Amino acid sequence: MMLLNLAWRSLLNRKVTVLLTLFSLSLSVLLLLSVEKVRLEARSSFANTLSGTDLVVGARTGQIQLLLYSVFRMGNATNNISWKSYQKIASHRQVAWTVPISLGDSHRGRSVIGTTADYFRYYQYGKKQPLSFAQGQPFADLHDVVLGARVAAELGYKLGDQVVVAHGMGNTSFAQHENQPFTVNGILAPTGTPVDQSLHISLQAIEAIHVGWQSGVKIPGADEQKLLAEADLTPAQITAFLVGLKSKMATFKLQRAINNYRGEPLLAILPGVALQELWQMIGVAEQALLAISVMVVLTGLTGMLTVLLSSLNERRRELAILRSVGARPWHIMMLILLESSLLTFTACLLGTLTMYAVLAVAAPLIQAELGLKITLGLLTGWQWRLLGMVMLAGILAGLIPGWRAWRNSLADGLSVRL
Amino acid sequence: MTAQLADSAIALTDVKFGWPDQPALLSIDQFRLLPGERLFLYGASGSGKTTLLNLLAGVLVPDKGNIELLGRPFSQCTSQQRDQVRADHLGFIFQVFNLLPYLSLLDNVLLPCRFSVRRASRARQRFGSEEAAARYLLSTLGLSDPALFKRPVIELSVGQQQRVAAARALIGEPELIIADEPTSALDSDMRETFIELLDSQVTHSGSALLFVSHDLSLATGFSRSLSLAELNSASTVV
Repeated sequence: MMLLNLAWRSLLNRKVTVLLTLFSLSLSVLLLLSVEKVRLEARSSFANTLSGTDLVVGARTGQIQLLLYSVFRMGNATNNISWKSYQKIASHRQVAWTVPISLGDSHRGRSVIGTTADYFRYYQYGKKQPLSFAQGQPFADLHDVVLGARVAAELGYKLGDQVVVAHGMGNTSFAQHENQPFTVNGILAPTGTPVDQSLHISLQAIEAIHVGWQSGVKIPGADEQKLLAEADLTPAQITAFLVGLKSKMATFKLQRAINNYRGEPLLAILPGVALQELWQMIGVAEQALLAISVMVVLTGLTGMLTVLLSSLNERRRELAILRSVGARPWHIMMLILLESSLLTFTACLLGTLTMYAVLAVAAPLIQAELGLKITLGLLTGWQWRLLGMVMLAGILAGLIPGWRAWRNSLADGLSVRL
Repeated sequence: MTAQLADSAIALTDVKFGWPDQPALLSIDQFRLLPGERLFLYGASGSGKTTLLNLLAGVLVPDKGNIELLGRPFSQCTSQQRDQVRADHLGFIFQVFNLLPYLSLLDNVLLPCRFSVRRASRARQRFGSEEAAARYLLSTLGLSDPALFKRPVIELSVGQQQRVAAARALIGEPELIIADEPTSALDSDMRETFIELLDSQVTHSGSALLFVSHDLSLATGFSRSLSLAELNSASTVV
């Protein structure tokens, strides 16, 4: 206790260097904890994108690619699947529900998804949470659109507003379906998933806006209104569909059946497995991030070591005085060890507190900008372990100047000259 | 054997010390300091003074011969035992910079009590508390102004700092006080005052005093004086 008091006072006596060391150490702890926090949140938000769905089915492609375009709305489908195949699988006796998805159009860079009202009933995210409406309801008319939360927030749409869908992806598409504007009929509550960034219309509406188009180009002179009235709006093909089964036991059987489907090449994936696989790919970046923050902590500790070691020379007198009033060499060593421990402990404390302060300020911003929801929870077991490792490294780092001080105090005796 | 029964505070017999492969620094056939005795040891630089002090403090061990401190075979002790003896029975005053700058005046004086249970309990026995002992010693050394206690010790004058160091050496009444040039940073009239104060306090506590200095004019106040150069047959004139 007395040594702790001495260590504390001695540190206070060297305010400037100690504060600087503390500052850099705290920053490095802050970085380490924040990276860990963001990594965990990103991972859980990622795994929470889709739940309750047993299979995702699309045209044959890679499993990650299918996941990317059907769930994350990234990239494009190389092939579609026919309505007939979809019908056939949807009517399988093990299938409880299906949600068809038709992609390819966009609105100011956000995906427009053709689907059915089942989307709002069966699509689940997080821990089997269904979608819910902040305002309005599912599409009722052919030209109704339901907006994801961030589409509405970022583009400032409210119920009843008119939205024009563009053909293809991209912000500045030249081909607009401007003759058939959509009316905002519902706005979904935020989910923190790609749903927030999507616009939802009916499959029939997808067909309707492409009436009078061929190969992605508007046929000049075609009278859209007349054609529309006569057209059969049953979709010919869709991009992918989500499947919910009556019994989980049937998952692998149905998956195999779909993959061996003779009508056309199809791929059925287990979304959980595909999400895992995708995360492992991203995981490399995650590891790199963690490695960098570990390096930063090591740099911080090296800084502390440098300060402690270089202060030893100026402190020979101090240590000799302590020896003369009866301090044993191990007292001297403990004194230095306590200093490094105190510094590291304070840095861990400051770093943790700063992390919470930063998160409290930044969480709404991150949610608004990245759609990543960050919760201010208690420290996780792994974060405690990281802090423990920093503490341990700090104490170990203190052993080096501690040992030198111990040796110096034996060699110098009581007579250090200035 | 307790310190009270020891027939000498310091006894050196045939002590030799030198660094390996170098001529001996110190060679003393016989040296004694009696309990409660006040000895002036004249030591110019190069006379082996530092070596002698480190030997007496137990930081160095002689190559040959015997050092007895308060009747204990000091040089045969383990370094832990020597550390214990130093903490319990020795008080030191150095030339300058005796104080820890980050401790208050009072905490500086109390330092030996933190490292020695014996000195702490002796201080408590006589004065009720360690702090009362420190305040008493400081006031007898002319440092009773409460304003002084609040100031950082580095703002004290050199004379005041040396008196704080003396109080620290005296607290808990160690049997032996070793003062190494304690007055050389003081001006001449303060020197005499300091020595008088130190002398009366040492008499009061019954400690032996070994006062080492290169200033022979200070020797007059001491009951005995010796020259280290004469004592040390290994001393080489620099």
